[in-house]
Amino acid sequence: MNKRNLDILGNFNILYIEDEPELLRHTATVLEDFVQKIFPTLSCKEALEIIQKNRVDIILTDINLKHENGIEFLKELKFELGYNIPSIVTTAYTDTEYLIDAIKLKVEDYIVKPINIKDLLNSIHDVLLPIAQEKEIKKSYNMIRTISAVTDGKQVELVKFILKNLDDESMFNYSYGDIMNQIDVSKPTVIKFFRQLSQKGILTKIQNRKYFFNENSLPDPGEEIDCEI
Amino acid sequence: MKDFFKYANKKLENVKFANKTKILIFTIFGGTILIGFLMFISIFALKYDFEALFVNLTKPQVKLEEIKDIYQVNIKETLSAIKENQISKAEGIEVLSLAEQIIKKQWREYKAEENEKIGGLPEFASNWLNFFLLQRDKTQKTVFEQRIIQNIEKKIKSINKKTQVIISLLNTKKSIKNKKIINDTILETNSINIYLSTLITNNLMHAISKKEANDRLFNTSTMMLVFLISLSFIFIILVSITIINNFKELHYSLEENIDKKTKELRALNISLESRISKEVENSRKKDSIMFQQARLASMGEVLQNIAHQWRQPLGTLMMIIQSFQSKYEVGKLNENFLNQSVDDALKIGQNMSDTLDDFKNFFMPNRAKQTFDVKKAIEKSISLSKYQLEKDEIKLDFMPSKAIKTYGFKNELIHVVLNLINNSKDILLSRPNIGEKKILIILKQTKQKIIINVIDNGGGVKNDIITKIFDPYFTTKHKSIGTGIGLYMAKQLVERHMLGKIYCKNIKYKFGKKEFYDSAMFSVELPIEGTTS
Ligand SMILES: Nc1ncnc2c1ncn2[C@@H]1O[C@H](COP(=O)(O)OP(=O)(O)O)[C@@H](O)[C@H]1O
Ligand SMILES: [Mg+2]
Repeated sequence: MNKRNLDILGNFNILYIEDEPELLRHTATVLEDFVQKIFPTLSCKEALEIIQKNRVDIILTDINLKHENGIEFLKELKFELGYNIPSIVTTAYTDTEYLIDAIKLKVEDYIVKPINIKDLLNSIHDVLLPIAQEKEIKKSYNMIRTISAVTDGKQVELVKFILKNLDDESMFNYSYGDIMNQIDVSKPTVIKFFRQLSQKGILTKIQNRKYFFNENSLPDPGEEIDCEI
Repeated sequence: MKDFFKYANKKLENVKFANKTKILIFTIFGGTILIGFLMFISIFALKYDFEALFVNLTKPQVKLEEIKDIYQVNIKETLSAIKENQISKAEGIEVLSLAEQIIKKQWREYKAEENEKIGGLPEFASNWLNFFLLQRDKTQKTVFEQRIIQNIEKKIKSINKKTQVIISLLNTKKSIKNKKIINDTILETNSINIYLSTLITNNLMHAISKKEANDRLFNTSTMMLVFLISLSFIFIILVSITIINNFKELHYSLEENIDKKTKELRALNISLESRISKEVENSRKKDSIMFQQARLASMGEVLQNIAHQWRQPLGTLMMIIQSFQSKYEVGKLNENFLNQSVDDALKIGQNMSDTLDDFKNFFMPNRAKQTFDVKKAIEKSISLSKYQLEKDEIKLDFMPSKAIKTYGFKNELIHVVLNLINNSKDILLSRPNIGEKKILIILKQTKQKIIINVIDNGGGVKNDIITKIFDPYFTTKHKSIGTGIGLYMAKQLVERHMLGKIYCKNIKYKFGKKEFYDSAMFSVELPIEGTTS
């Protein structure tokens, strides 16, 4: 596995339940360097209070707690209280009994004790990545919508049409006439836009009615997005 | 002779002892009876013969002599006197007719006596013996004798007739004519006397011959008796010897048998002794193997505890180590963090080391006796099983008295209590619907003894097995958890090493609540002075 970009963790709050105080304390001191906020707790009861009062993005819980069971707590959260928070469980045993429960509960991952901190961070990263990406996409979409509000609406429509009709090899197989038949746009506008794109190396004419869309030639929008999908 | 004994012995081998005695007694008895019988027969036969000789042959002779005398004296001489006229007629008639009468009577009597039967047992005996000895009866009258008798009877009649004539003649007093008839009669009298003499002689001859026969009979029966007596003697002796011989043989064989059996018994005894000592050895070995097994079993349980007690701090230690790297990578590895973490790690390490020491002390016991605190020992047992109890959500309470010092093997007591706790734990886990699971350990001290009670609300020991739970290998548990050694070993340790007692009772106990629980109470009683003596 590649080295993950753990920076995305910095935007999330983590709830950590572990009944062994020493382990809780030391693990928390490590995790606090990576996440926005960590809520370490010894019991499920305290954990619930935290969830109700704070934003919790991910739960990390031990299965074997004193007089309690982490899986049972997660079940209660999900099915009785309606919280849908991604979770990772830690366990001292490779207990199939609990494992099946965990799978049924769609627990995102499980970590066998003793905890390897790198594995734990990676696991947390993997669980949080889709959420981070979703956030990013939403951001981009909003950006496009903002841009289209202040620039020529026809050009935005043309971009949409091209991206929508790319085939698997990033080829665009339409003539100007085809385009004009489909969207309401004048021929000079189309010609001017295509020229602009080919000047920047984004759209290259291969032959008549066949253009290659070069993704890599797109300019950096100034914001980094982790693109490791 | 030897062959005969051999043969007899062989035959007698299968005969019962009692039957052998019966045979012997029967033989003696039979022989005696036979001899006695023969003696009686012979005596009776002799008596018969004697009587026959006397009654039939001797007594009648007297009659014949009398008849002869009467003819000679009364008739012949009277007739002569009549002829000579020496007596009167009347006298003559009287004498003659008297003589006739006497003769008739005597003859009758003679015949009767001669044919008189003796009868009864003697005759029967004689006949039987004669038949037996093949002797014919010689008393039959010979032809000669019969003819004499006929002649005598004829003569008697004719003399009688003539006498009658003479008497009538005398009555008529014709004396001359009488002379001739008287002479005739005298002649006839002579001739009858000759006949009579002949008969007497004949009879005497007969008697002699009869006596001879009698002698023979006597000889024969004597011989016979001697023969029979000696025969039955020989037979009795033979049988006796045979049987005695057989007895001897039997005795020898019995003696031999007894000797053999004694030897066998002795051998068996010796082999038994060696077998017993072997078995004792075996059982000792078995015991020590069982102790080993039990130790291993509880070692397994304790090991699980240790493992868990180790796993947690180990995880923390590993986390601390990783935290150094992690802090370093994010540039936050400062002196403060370093000191704090190292302190924590050392504390945890020390703890782990202590746990290990506990374990080591428990399983590598120094076999030396020591003075120790019973309360502390029980606390150690509890701490060794703490993890399991916590995991299985069993609440264990310990109600100790003050510290109680005793002298003995500390580890063994820890072991015993640990076993009792484990048994309680097992029974509580086997009852899912029991509600709150509780174990209570009470330690108290009386004047004579220290008492440790382990009580659980697992429902108690079933009555049908309560007498067996201290037996080796008795278990009601699945073989993955039960060995059946725990209580057996606890009993051995308590009774043999600690000189105490261990027993179990089913009781109702409150556990500090309102309701009563069916509970098992295992009690260990230890002498207060320990095992110093
Ligand atoms: N506290 C208890 N309550 C009920 N039954 C018990 C208890 N302790 C022991 N027993 C019975 O005694 C049996 C023998 O115990 P033990 O000798 O320790 O062997 P094991 O535990 O391996 O079965 C057990 O199988 C169980 O049936
Ligand atoms: Mg047991």
